Amino acid sequence: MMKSAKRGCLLVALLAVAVGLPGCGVAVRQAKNAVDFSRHEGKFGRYGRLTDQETQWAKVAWRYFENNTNPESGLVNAFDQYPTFSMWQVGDYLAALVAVHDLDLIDTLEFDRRMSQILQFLNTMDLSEKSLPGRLYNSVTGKMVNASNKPEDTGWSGVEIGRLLTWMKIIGLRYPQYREYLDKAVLRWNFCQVIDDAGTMYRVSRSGEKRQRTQEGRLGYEQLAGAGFAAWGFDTERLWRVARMESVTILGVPITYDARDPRLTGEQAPVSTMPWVLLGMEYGWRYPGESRSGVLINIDARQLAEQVYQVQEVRFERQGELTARTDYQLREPPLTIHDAVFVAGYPWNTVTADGDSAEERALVSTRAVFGMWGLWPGSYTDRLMQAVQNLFNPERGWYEGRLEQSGAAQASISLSTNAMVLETLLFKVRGQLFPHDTGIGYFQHKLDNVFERRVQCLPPDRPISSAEVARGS
Amino acid sequence: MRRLLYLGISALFPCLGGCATGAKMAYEDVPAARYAQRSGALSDTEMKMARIAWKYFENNLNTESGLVNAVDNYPSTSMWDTASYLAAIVAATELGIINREQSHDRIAAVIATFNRMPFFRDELPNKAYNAKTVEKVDYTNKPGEIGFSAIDLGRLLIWLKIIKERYPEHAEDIDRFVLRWNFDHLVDRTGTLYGAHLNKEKKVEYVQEGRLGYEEYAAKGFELWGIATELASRPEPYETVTTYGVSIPFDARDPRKTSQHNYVVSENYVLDGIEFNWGIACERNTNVRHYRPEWMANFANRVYQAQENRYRDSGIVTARSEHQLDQDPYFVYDTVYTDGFTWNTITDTGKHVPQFAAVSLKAALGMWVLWKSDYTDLLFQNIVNTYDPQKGYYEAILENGKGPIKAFTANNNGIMLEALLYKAQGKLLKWGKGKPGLWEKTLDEAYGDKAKTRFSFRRTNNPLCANAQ
Repeated sequence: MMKSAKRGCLLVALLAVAVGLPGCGVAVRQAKNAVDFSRHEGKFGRYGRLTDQETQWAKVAWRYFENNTNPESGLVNAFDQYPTFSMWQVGDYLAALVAVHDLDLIDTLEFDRRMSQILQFLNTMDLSEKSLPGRLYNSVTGKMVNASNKPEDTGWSGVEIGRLLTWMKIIGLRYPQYREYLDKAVLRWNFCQVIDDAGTMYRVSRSGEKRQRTQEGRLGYEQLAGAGFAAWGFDTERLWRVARMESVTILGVPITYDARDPRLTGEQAPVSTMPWVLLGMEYGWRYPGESRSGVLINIDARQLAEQVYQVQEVRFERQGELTARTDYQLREPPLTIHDAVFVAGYPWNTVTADGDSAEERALVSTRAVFGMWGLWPGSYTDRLMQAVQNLFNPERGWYEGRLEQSGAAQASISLSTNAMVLETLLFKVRGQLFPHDTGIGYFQHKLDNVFERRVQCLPPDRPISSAEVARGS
Repeated sequence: MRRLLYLGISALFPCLGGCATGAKMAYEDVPAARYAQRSGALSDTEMKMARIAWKYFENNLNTESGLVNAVDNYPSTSMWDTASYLAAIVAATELGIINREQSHDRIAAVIATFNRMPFFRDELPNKAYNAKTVEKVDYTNKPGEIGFSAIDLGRLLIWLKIIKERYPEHAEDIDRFVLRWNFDHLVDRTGTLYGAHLNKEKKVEYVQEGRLGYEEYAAKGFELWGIATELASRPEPYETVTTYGVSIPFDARDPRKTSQHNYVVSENYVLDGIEFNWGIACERNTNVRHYRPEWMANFANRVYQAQENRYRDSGIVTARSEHQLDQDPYFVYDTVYTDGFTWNTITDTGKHVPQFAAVSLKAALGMWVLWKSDYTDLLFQNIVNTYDPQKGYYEAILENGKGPIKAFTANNNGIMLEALLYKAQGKLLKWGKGKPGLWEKTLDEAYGDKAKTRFSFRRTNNPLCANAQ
């Protein structure tokens, strides 16, 4: 590609001398752009090969993984030097791993070594209640632990498993050599409790003898996680059809939020950047399964994502406050921060999982900045990037962000943020990350084998939805 | 190239750190291999010697910090020199020169300072400190940071371990100090040791540190703390050169290209002998002749033999080490071999300064205790009266007949005390009943919210290194 472009340039240069055409640099750049654009799946967001500076960003992010991978087991800490991780973070790690391999920052040998290790873990790890990946694992021993990193089975999370499913599927499709083993890992699981026939996802919280199963996921993350299940054949279309939504207008922009009341359910329903960014980069804001009902899906995820982006840009224009908000995790209590566009009844609100105000923790989030920069090219996201592009320790990775109130760095270093840097840069080169499905693999063969069915509530075990029955299909 | 060669050798002899590497050099014995070591209660002369050496540490204690000056009356020190001070305290205690209370106070003061002193880039102890104020300093004792030395830290780890085993009351505070260290740039998973220095642009650079003898000695400190040093512990890459009929091993990494001299001296072999009996770091058997990696004792015997032979052939009394001077350039590597020449004496920049060739007192006394011979009797007589009763033992005696080098150092007097203690007690690393302490528990802890992963180095799986349960 480069070679022919250069030769072309010479020709153009000769012509330019002859007839005074614009310089050869412009022509080459245009040719390159066309190539880059054609490579970019989905044709939205920022595209193009990485600049030197962007490659440097990727290297810094990968540094995190180099430092935090247990060489014996291949497991990666979710926080710098702290040995726990969740299934969400395994998903993030897989995304980062695909990115560095695709971006040529690691060779295929290293990629395969790391893949082999993570496949081994996925196929041998202890399962919570012997049925599903647990909430949290220890990266030194590979055992399940509780929030204070002591061995315990504390249950599982449907939303986190959903994200892991997304990346297990993406890798299975992009790298067919691993598909069988990813399928086998998924076939170890029992889906009866984690997702019901209507696509609603659940979490189980266990503590001693107590066990509680509750619906999990709010607008944004619910659709993102549901897409992960849909990628494996589960019908979660209903989440895209009959979501319970309300609307509020912030700075003139209509913002859609989840109508389930946190005061009644105990679960916050924030409007923040990340779920919409991930849904965009990974799925192009489209439901990945087939629409069995034939009814038009009525959540326009792209529209909702645009709104969340727009209102933050407007806030900067009108009020001069640089805004890139999303939820984030801390190693120490309060652990989860919902740093939101809208949450718990208020715009530009920042609360903990319990709903306590944590205004002082509002961030220009590195993760959100990268995501917005990747999907919405323009002067605002350039401005955002300017604000965070030096927020890293070259030897440990990217920081979480910059505190809105003081401008100080929030210097905690997490897997998810560093994975997002890599995922964004991969998106810039490749476009939409979820590829088209290519043929059937071990998973489907296994599902098709009616003589060997176990009670796992896999897609074929699910009843046909009432809508389909009504249409007589 | 050098690295390829190195890997080639390790592939041929795929054995873990410390095992004999066979074919490279036949380990035929030199006569020194059959010499006994000196052991037994100290004579009056030897006790007097110890008291004089201890005088240095009485004079040079900084009460503000608990540290002693590395050089008489000059308030600067390094981790190597501080390790020699700790060795001196142990020797003075065990030989009855100070009582247990004085000993305890001196050690506790050093450890307390360790636990509050600032580190180079918050990573590790700086190469040098102001011994009074405990500020990080450069080599001119001006405030500033200059890097860290894996060799110095390795020796310090050895003495911290010896103290933990002998005086477990200090174990917890010592562990707290070592837990402050950031090992990320110090040792990697291949078990190679790295030092840090600032380049011309004042940017920090981490480079492999340690040459044959010193490298393996320092590695033992890390092994004692459960950190694998596979590559550092191997004698390769080395070559040999023959002088006075003895082939001497030296480090094959070219000093012209690496800015580290490959000096062959007595000091590291002496320290390895008196602290470890030339055995592997975690060896628990105290029998001198118990199995040990063949090469280390063999190399030590050769370095000794070459010096004895030089005296026999040329009449020049020889006991070589790096040592201090009482004039510019203040410090020389006074060697059996370095940088291409046998019996080479150079400054740290490599300048040839044969006029400073000398009998190093610490080397002489170390050789005296490890090799009982007519020659070391002579060495002893040569040095026994080379002291200032007010200040301690002199650094060395010039070969050219111009008398003693009138410098006094913690390292020289400390190692002399160590050597005397070896005569009284044998191998200085005495295993106590130490149970896994704060260090082991913290390092092994996978669970709990204080858990911290250290994936940058490999843990040893040597059962001998594991503490007695």
